[in-house]
Amino acid sequence: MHRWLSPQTLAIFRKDGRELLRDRRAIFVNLVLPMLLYPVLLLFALQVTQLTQLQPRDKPRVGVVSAPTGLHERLHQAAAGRLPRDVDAAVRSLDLAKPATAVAFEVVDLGTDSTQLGQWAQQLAASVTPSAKVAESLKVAAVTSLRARNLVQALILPDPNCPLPAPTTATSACKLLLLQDGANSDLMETDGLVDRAVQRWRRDVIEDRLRGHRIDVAVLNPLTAHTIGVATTAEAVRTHAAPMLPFIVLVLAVAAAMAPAIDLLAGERDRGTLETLLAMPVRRRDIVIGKLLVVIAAATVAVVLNLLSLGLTAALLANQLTALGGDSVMQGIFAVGLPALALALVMLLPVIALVSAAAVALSAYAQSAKEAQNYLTPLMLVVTFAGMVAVIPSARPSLALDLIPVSGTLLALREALQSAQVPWLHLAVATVANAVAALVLVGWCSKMFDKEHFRYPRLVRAGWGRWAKWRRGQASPDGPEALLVFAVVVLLMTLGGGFLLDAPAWLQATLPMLLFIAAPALGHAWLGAYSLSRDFGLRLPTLRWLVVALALVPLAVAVSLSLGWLQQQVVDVQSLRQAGEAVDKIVGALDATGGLPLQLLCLAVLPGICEELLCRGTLLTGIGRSLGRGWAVLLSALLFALLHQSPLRLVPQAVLGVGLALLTLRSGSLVPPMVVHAGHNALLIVAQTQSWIPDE
Amino acid sequence: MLHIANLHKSFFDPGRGQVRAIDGIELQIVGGVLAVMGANGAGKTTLLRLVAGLLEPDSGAVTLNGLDSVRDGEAFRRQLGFVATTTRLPPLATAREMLLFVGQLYQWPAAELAERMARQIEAFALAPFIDQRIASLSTGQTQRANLARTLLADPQLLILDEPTTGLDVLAAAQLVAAVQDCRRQQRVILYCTHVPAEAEAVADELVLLRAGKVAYAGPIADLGSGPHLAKQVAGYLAAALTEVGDAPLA
Repeated sequence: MHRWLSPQTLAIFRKDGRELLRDRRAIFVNLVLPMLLYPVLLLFALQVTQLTQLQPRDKPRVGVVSAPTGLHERLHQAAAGRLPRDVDAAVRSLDLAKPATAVAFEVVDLGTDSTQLGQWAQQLAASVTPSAKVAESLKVAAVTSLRARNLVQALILPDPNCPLPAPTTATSACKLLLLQDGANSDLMETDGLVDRAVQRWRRDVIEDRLRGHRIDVAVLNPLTAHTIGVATTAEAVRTHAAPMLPFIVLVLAVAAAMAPAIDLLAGERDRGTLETLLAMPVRRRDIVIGKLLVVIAAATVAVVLNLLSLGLTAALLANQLTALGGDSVMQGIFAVGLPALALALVMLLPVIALVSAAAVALSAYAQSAKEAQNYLTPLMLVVTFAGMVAVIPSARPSLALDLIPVSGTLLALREALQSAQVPWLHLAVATVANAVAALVLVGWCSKMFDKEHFRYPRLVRAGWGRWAKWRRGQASPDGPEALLVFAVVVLLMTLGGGFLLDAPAWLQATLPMLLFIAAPALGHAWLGAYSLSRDFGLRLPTLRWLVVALALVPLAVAVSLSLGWLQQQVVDVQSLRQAGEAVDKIVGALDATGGLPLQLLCLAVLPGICEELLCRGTLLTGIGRSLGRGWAVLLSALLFALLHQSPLRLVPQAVLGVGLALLTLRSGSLVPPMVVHAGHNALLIVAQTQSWIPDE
Repeated sequence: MLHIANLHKSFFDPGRGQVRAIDGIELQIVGGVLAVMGANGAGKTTLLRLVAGLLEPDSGAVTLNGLDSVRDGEAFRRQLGFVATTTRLPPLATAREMLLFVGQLYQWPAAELAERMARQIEAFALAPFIDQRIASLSTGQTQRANLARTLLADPQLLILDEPTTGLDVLAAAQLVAAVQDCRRQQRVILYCTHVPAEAEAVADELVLLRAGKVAYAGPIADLGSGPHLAKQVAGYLAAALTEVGDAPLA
């Protein structure tokens, strides 16, 4: 019976594993270097931090205009970090900000030389400015003034008649204005502190007044709230560190799986050793599994070694931080604990296997190592995004999420690392989901090995991203392809139309033709490596067909006009007319800009060429190949009519489409329908401008 | 016995559309060495890859002693030895490791494997460099190791696609001699070459391919020998050159 782990698989595992280990340069770059990098980078970062702390740095400046001494005092206290966060009570909480001794900002008394600044502030605050423009110019003046004095914020008491602290009997409130330069990055440091100082001082004034009225200050405090965090600092940090751990492992695993996956499949193809292996009596599945096992092993080893290196670096960091007083933080990171780490690693094995399988499959699919590199970079992005779910704070494991490979496991692991409880059910479901996804990938990969276009891709593939990759041996496009092109055209016209609304009329008429209709058709021909002349009939017809085409122009106009008239009799015209108004506007504008020649070029010649390329070229050929000529004629005509998005002309266009399709098939060339199409449009335009026919 | 029955294979080529690389080839070989010659793009490599089961025919079949090249893939390949200019050995492995690897695939008992290895090491004089990495070997040594690897399993069908490419005169002569040596009853050797003298030295029969079709098939002696043979073959190839362009093969 076929076994998953046949002796042949193991033989390939041994052979490829040995080769991987012997590639010293790859081992160094993919394993040793990353491990050395963490401690080195850490030391570098610590050095940089220490150096920046030693460097003298200008403090952010906060200006004060005619502020009372009490407020000054509070500002200085806030700058020195001596004011509690809460106005009422000092709530102790985990605050890893800079030590309280450093002064955060400098308080600068602006004196009386800044009355102008005060006036601007008052005007801006009162919104008395007549217009938004004036307000903007005021802002510019104020911020220029702030920057000239090198200030982040300025506290202004605009009313000199409102001395603070006011007498205890005062009933009206004084206004304090705070101008701030929102574009200054130092604002982040000063903003909260200045606010704290103002609040605190306001509180002080209130308390003073109460005392003046002989009222107990306690009146203001009917309730005091104290938050007491009962988790140890270590535990709190663990909760924050836990989501990162599985994520780091995941990123490491993808990075580590990439190099061997590329080398063992695409690389072997490049070297010619894969053909040797394929000619040997091994089942292709054995080859896939053998190589996959090597990649999984390499990724796992890399993850373990990298984690050890990270752990070492963390320990190093702990030493440094203990000196700086950050002891509890490191305890927190280590509080994750060895059992939890071991669990994480075991549970991440299916994820590593899945990522490895994806890397192997993509690498096998690639024609060369270079192409494999191109495929694997997006894989890395996708997996990283899937893993980021674990970092979203509010995300919780659910059975639906468990089924998403990578995301489910990471989320369940985060839960396990953060709390003491392990969500076994979620872990189990997620593991099964990952395993199933990995098996599907391995199956796909084995199937691919069994196909000859995998073994000799260049024989059957045309080039980058071309259709021929999937449709080997196909020399002309088919129905689904043609319909896809049409879908792209419709999408472009829908999305792109809005951009052109303000463009000149001639652009509105020509750009959609060239970019939305002709470009997709030509792009499709290029992608499929189809020949425009052979597959789409873009070749000169015999003279006879040219003459026939010219002769058909009046007939086409007659049919189109009479059918249009008939449709008007049957369908309510008024509702349909509005749809045609936009087109009429363009026609009028074109007439105004360039007269008849421009109208003919934009509305007759270009549509004749571009629309025929799409409808009688791509659509007719493609649908014809899949469904036969009859359906091709009908469907291409219908799509041609729909393309015009003009209900008013739906029936005439469809009938015209059938005629043009038949003409293409009979003449074997795209030129006669182009001539008829352009001629039909031209004749209609001329007839309308010369008022030969009554205006609809 | 190798039977190639009405074989067809065409490729899609971006420049020329559908290309018929092999167009109805019919051959039957009971045993001996069959030289395959033809101009570049005549379909030689495609034919050999089809026979090896690496490519799948559009129609027709290749059977070796009743085994189909595609349907009985693994069993067919147990009887197959394939050496082409494109089949390389892993550069970081040693020749001995390659032989052991083949042994692991075929799962011979240890004693049998040792005996087979000894035979090939002696036949191709691998002993001096058997424990060196392939990357450090010369082209001739690598090709000898490759042949030894192929013949270790004593295949019924041996396909050699231009095996002397890149070899110096001496190494080429040694290789030709080795091929002559491994002629046996019932074993079929397909030997693809551009050199008429080489074909004359190893082959009993000759097939000349032209645009995917058999232009000549028969005893090589019938086309004469030495310069006469070369002239005859060149005549066929010159005719072929005017008829086909470049091959789609990469």
